[in-house]
Amino acid sequence: MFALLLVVLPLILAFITLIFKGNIAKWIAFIGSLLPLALVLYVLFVNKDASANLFDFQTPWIPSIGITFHLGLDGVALLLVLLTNVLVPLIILSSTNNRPYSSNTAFYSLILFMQSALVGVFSSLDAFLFYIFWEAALIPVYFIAGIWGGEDKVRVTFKFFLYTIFGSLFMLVGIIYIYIQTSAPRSFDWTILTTLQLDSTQELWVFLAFFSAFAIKMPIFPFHTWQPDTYTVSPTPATMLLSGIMLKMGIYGIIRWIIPITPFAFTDWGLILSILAVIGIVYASIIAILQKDFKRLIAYSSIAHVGLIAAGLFAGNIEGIQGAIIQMVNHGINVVGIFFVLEIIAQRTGTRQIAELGGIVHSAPKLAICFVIILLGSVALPLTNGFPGEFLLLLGVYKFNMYLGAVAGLTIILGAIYMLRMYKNIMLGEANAITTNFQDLTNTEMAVLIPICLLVIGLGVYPNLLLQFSESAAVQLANILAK
Amino acid sequence: MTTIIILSLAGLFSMIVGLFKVNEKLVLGLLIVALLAGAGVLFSDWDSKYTYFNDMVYFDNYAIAFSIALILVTLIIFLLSEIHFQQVKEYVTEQYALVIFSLIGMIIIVSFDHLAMLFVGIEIMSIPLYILAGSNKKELASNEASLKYFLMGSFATGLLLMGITLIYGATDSFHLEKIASSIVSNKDLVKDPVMIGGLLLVLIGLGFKVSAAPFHFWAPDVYQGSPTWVTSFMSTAVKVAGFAAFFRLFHVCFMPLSEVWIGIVSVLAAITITIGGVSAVFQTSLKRILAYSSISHAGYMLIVFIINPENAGNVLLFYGIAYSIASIVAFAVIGAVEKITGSDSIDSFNGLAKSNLSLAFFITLSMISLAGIPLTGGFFAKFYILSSGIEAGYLWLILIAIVNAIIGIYYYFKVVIAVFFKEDAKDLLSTVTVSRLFYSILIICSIITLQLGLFPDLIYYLF
Repeated sequence: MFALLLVVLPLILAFITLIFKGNIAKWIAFIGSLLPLALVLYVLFVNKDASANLFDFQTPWIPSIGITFHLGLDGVALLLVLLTNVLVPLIILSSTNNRPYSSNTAFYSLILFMQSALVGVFSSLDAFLFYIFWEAALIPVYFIAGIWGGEDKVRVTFKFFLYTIFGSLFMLVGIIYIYIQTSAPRSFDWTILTTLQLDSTQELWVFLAFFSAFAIKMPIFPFHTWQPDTYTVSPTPATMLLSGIMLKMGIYGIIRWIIPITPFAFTDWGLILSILAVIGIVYASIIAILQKDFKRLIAYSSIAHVGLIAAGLFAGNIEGIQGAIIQMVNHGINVVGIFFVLEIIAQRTGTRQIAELGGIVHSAPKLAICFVIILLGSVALPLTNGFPGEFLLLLGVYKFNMYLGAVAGLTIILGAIYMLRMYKNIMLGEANAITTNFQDLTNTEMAVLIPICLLVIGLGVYPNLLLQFSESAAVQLANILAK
Repeated sequence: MTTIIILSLAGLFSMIVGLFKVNEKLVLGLLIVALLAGAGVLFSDWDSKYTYFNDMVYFDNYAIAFSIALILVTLIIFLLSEIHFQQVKEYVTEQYALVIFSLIGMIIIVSFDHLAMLFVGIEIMSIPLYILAGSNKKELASNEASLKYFLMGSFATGLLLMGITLIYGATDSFHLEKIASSIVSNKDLVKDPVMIGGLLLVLIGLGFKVSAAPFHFWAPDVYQGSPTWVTSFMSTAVKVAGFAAFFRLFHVCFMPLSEVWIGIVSVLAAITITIGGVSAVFQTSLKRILAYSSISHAGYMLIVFIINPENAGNVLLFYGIAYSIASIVAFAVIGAVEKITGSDSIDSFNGLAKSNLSLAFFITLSMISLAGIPLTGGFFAKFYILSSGIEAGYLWLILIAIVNAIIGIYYYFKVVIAVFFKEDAKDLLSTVTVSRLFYSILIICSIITLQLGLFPDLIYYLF
């Protein structure tokens, strides 16, 4: 029942928001989005035994072809639902700050629709339902990016849209294929699909069908070409949704569907895919170093971070999977924080070019402190949230293949280079004409950044908050793969 | 049967009162009552399986379901006709009558049990359409459409008739069941050139009618040239009826010969989907895009012919309804915009969302449905086709269908992009106004589209 509420509540709120106009709409959306957060926190307190699917909800939806409305939350799903419900209020709040959207009503309503679909993706245990939510999550963000995006938005967002649909249609074929393999009465249910015995050719094709959707969504090198443009052109709330939550759909898909259904194909392809992922890390990091536009820089850094998460996952051992799960959450928090800080800077100075900025620290110390905390989380300094995740991931990759581990380790060095250089050039040094009168954080902005900073430090000092949820799931998945 | 009589009387009445000065709205109201009555009578005949005219028509549930669907589609098109008749003031009730006559033809071809009835029905359906296509008398494109449609259409019926004759020669009967039983009892017919020739000619003739490639060349010009209101009728009801007849013939009659035609039909399906989809990409006129998209959809519907016969009829009905509703809405919005801007090019839709959000929403929803994106009827229509195609083992065909679905999303979303993401340079669209009735019909259509996308079981597994 909880799972259903978590999906339906944002949906209802989205419709309620549609009634209101102007500022009221955004406050309704914000206050409303706190409700699911409160609910999910309550759920966390109830759910002591993270391995059990305590929050199962099942009802027939289209019985003639065996589709059930089956939702459930295990440890991994719970973490991602928590992430979604923490980030959406922050994203809404961050976008309320003197950023005019021609129609607040539609804007916030679309965000809430998106939230509902995202939670649906993370909690559905029926392959068909999963596909529906998967597509449903795409439509709102496409409209947000297309209507309120920047220069060249039509071309860029359309490429993104077509690219992701392309992948997901192959996933649909894969889903139908495994559905046909189930014995009568046929079913799309996760519990039934995961017990299927596919032979190795079937497994390979099903794996490729699913993987095409997930690889594009993450995106993993070389399927990433839509991503930098889309992140740069989209309005920042959409970028936050895309980078903070939506790319986790791909990783989550691998955990939820690929590993249990096609474990052998996954292990067979593990090496190739982790090599691709590691290439992606180095490639994206180097491009990030060369970027002049800071939003684009973070877009590339996001490819690098996701590359590491993917590499750890493809390694297929407990450390790698565990790291991937908690790093999904941490990356979401950090990247949303960074995009918000950069949005503040871009709004006040009117530029995204790193070279034109400098010396902001003198006039905006609060911003500088928040920025540095989030940045250090992102470069995985010990005692910040990035550290335990990256450590586990690197350990996992290293155990899987020593050389890959060594190359993947470059991410820490390269990440530090581009992040800290960016910080130095934007915040430190002499203030120039653009930055001298930089206004420090307002209360609303503080209200967004302080929770993020607290999470960065809190999860760094006490990573067990997340690990306790992911552990049993990681062990289960590693066991499936070890067979 | 009663339905055919009711509709014929209504059509004749509407034709005759055109001679006098009458209130056209009143006639329209009467016709709507007649349509509802016809649908109601058919509905009460559910499960009764009547045959008429010495078994020449047979109203089984398949025929009833399709007839009701066609009547309701026509009803919706009538209710959305106001924009057309704001511009065309002459011969209004005569045009109503022609649509009704065409509908009668459709009801005959979805219920035929005798090849002569198929031929007669197709003629009754087509001849009013030739006139309607040219009903914009003063416009060259409309005249061209009419002439083209007439020439191509008569050519196709000629081939069909030829095929029917050959089949009669080979099997000694016009009755579907008798033909089927003589095919079953006489194994040599599979190799009989007369039989195979007849079969292929019928296939080509019907392929023309449903605009399957490579017999589709008439469709874009005719759809673009005809008045938008007529186009919406031709590309929905007429097409669905054609498919229903096509399917009835091939599944009742020629299933034992499936080894002969299944390969041909699957190749036709692949070609049709691809040609329709790829050609639509390069169009700038929205009516032309929808014409090519209707060709592409015809290809998807052809896939129904090669899948599991048990539920194939349901899949066809579902696809037909989902596709028709979405297309009607799209054509209605095109009509409303075309009236103001005088053009149906995609650019004339720029910024529609700013000036008229509800029309923008309706056309977007119908585009999403035509593109087959979840939560709309179009998605389940495609889903049923894909899943039965995969089950029947036609993976290559399904992959072609998938690639074309992506191409489809490309051109359907060009409309969505124009409507939502672009600016209206000339600010013409703010003057688009339509009546409350028009809005409420569009709302009902949108609800149907969403309902088919959320609870498809209500129509699927109907018979």
